[in-house]
Amino acid sequence: MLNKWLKQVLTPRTQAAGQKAGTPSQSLPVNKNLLVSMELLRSKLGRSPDFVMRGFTSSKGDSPYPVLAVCYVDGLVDHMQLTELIEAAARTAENSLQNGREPSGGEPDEGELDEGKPDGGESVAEQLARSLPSADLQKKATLDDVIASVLSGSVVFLADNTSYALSVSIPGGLRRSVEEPTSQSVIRGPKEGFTEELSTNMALIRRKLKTPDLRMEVRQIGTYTQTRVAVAYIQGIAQDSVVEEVRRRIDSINTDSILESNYIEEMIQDAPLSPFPTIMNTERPDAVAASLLDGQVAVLIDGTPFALLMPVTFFKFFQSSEDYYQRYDLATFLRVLRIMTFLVALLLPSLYIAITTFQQEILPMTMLITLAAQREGTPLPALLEAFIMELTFEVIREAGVRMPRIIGPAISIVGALVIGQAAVQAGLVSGTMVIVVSFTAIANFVIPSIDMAAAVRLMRFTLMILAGTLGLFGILAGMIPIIVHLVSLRSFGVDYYAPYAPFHKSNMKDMMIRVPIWAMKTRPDQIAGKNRTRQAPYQYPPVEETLLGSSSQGGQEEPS
Amino acid sequence: MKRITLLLLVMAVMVLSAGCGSRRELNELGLVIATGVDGSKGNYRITSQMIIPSALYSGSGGASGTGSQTGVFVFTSEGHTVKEALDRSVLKNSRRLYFSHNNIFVIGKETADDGIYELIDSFLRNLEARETVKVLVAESSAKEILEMLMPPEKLPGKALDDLLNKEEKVESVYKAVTVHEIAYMLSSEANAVSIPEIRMEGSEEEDLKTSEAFKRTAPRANLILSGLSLFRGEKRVGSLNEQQSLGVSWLMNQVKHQTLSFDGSREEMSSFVIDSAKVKVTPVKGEEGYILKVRAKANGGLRESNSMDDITDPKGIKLMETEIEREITQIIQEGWAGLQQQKVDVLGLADKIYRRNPKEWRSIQPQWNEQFAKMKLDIQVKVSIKRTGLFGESFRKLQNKLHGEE
Repeated sequence: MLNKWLKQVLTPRTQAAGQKAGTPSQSLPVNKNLLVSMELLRSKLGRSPDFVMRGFTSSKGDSPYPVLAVCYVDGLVDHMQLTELIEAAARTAENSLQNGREPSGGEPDEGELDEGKPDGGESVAEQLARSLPSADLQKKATLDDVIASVLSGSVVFLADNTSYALSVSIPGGLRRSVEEPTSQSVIRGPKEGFTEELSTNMALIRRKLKTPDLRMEVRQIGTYTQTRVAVAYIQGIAQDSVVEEVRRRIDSINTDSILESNYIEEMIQDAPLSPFPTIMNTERPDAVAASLLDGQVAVLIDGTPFALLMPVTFFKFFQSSEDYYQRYDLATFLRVLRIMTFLVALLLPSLYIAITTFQQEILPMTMLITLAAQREGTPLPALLEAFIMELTFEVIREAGVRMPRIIGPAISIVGALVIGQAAVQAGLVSGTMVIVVSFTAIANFVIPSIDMAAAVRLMRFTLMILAGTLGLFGILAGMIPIIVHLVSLRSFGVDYYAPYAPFHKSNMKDMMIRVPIWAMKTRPDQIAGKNRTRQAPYQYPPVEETLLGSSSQGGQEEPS
Repeated sequence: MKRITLLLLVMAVMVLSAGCGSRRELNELGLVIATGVDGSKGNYRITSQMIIPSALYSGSGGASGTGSQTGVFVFTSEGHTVKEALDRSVLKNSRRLYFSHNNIFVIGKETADDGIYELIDSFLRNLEARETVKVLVAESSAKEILEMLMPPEKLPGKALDDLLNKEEKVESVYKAVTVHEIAYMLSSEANAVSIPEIRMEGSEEEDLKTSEAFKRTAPRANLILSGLSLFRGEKRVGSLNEQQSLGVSWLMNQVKHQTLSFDGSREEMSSFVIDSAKVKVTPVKGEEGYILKVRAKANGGLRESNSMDDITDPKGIKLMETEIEREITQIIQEGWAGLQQQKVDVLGLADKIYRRNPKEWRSIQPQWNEQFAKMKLDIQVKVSIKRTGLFGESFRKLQNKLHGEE
């Protein structure tokens, strides 16, 4: 049954690509009769009050019917620009010699058409196109296109007697400004983060990478949301095969909505059922820029400040962009520390359980006595005790994320005092267990990537059960499949556990150890394509010898 | 489909049943830090010293527990074999005895005289008991030794372990031996081993059996390392006193650090502290039997001097070195005499001969003990004084110079 279900879930998307998600309507062309078009648009949008439409009549003619119409969705457009555009439109209509027409209800007949057009002169639409103060002017032939552009923040002008509409994109309205990213903050480094606006985000990256080779391909996904999704990469650094694969996977998405980057992530990642993420996300433009320079591909999604990065390797999740903004020695130390805390977060509770219930002989005697004294009189077995405390922490954490900010202090008091201290004093849990659980919780936050931290959170419980039933052997029995799985994973054709398995010696300089910037001559070759050279060799600071002082002798040190 | 069901079933069974049998929570364990054995074959009495964790650390505070409680609980159980005696303890004790952290194994006098092979087998065969346990021989019964507290330590078993370690490093009179080493020595050609002895010193032994021990500034009894028991085969054949043990320690090249007092030319005592010593012992075939060639080297510094010699002069130093050499030679001779008297080859000389010439060893093996007792010594000791401390000539000599000899 499970097999059947899995098969059903895992069927390749291409088979189902024939049928469209949602309900696309038949596309109508823009009617030459303005009033007909206007009425069609109104009814298509369900006469929504935020859809604004206004007609302009010509003063030269005597018809009460409009020659020009403007429509937009209130709140999606920039009001300053809107005013200018409407002024231009009003002027054009004013000066137009053409008369508006009665809605005839049918196709306009040829006679009227000829009559409406001044002899050999411009039509209203052409005049308007000339006078609109905008560089981004598009012609829309069908009503569906008109609606799509109106809904994505354009002003659309319809002219009588014309079979197309003019659309000017002036997205505006209220949106969040560029702020410091909340999920990945740094001490030293750029403080700007992505916003919900795709164009802003693209500009933030463009500002960091002033190269014509930066490519951004925008497409729209989601029949209802029509979310704009941009695939960004640097031509010449990113591998063509990877870019092509990203394109292919994104294009095969057929859904009604994309509301956040995770919608895309889950649809395109290599191992959708694995607890380990094979796509990374970030809110930081500088992190995206650095990744693009390493040959990764970024996917930006309108409506969310989180960008996706692919392909990734396991150890990328333990790197922070601040590693490159700090001294190399500290950065190296922090990277080793992160790997160690990863292991602590994954294994500490299970090791504690295994050692205190199965392999007590490996504890030093004084420690054993301390632990035994604390366990004296605690009612639950160590496994259950650890399980309850871990779950308690997860509850407190979840409550902390969801609750209103004002209740925050209350939760921390209850969490720290009642559950931590009081439980120990009441003799329900041992003090060491509280230390183990709290340290595990804190260690979990050291992992820079939230996705990787989440993977650890879940696997911890499995390992705890194994440790509680089989001791250290159980931990081994749990770790071996995990490592086998890690090594067998791939992300867009790149080995997930690289550069350790398979081993690449040349990529070690930016893994556990972060060598000084001047020594990073090449890009990591498991991700980048042929263009591997990052900078010229021997970039050791070329200090002038006369400035070295009289005491030092000899030339500068050359790195070998 | 089937495979997945099977996998789920295996996992369920694994979680539900396996492993739980060998699980033991910390609060169910009786942590034993020292054991002792008395009695003879067929009738053993095992004494265990069990830790009371709550007496050492109060549950939440973490500091050491109340003073009115002793940190250990001692009880004895009987049985025909060692293992039986141990397991009969469940009749008296609520906890499952746990021997992984056993530090000290005390052999009572009666058992030592009767034989120790069975004890060693029991140690080597069982998983929990470690062969790295240090062994002591009690001059009386093991039970008596284990019932004593050793202020200021809360855990007497641990204290005995520390005592042996410190003594070995600071004075090197007795070397701690483990069960493993005993098994190794006894199975070698020499078939002999020496084990430190412990005894109670003083009169009021009851003082040390309650927490009263911690309330007196000077308990009227204490435990002391008092000699070396010599085993040939499984039986104890005799023992050496402290001075003889010191000589054996030199012969076994176990001196790491030691303070020696030596007589000067005018019978004034001075102290020399050995920082490093190296002794090479080789049995050499002479005209009549074997001769034991002993080559010793010792470095150290002068720490206390009453000498009238001029130690600011290399000649004076040389003189002093000869005096120390004479002292060491004497110590070694004393130890050697003790061993020869008991005819116990704890130095493993038999193995040295065997390794050099196995055939010849086979021929002298039957009368080895007599050979051993007749062996002559050829000692050469080389001492060098590396430092004389912060002071030059002895204060006594300076005073004599200033105020004239009294």
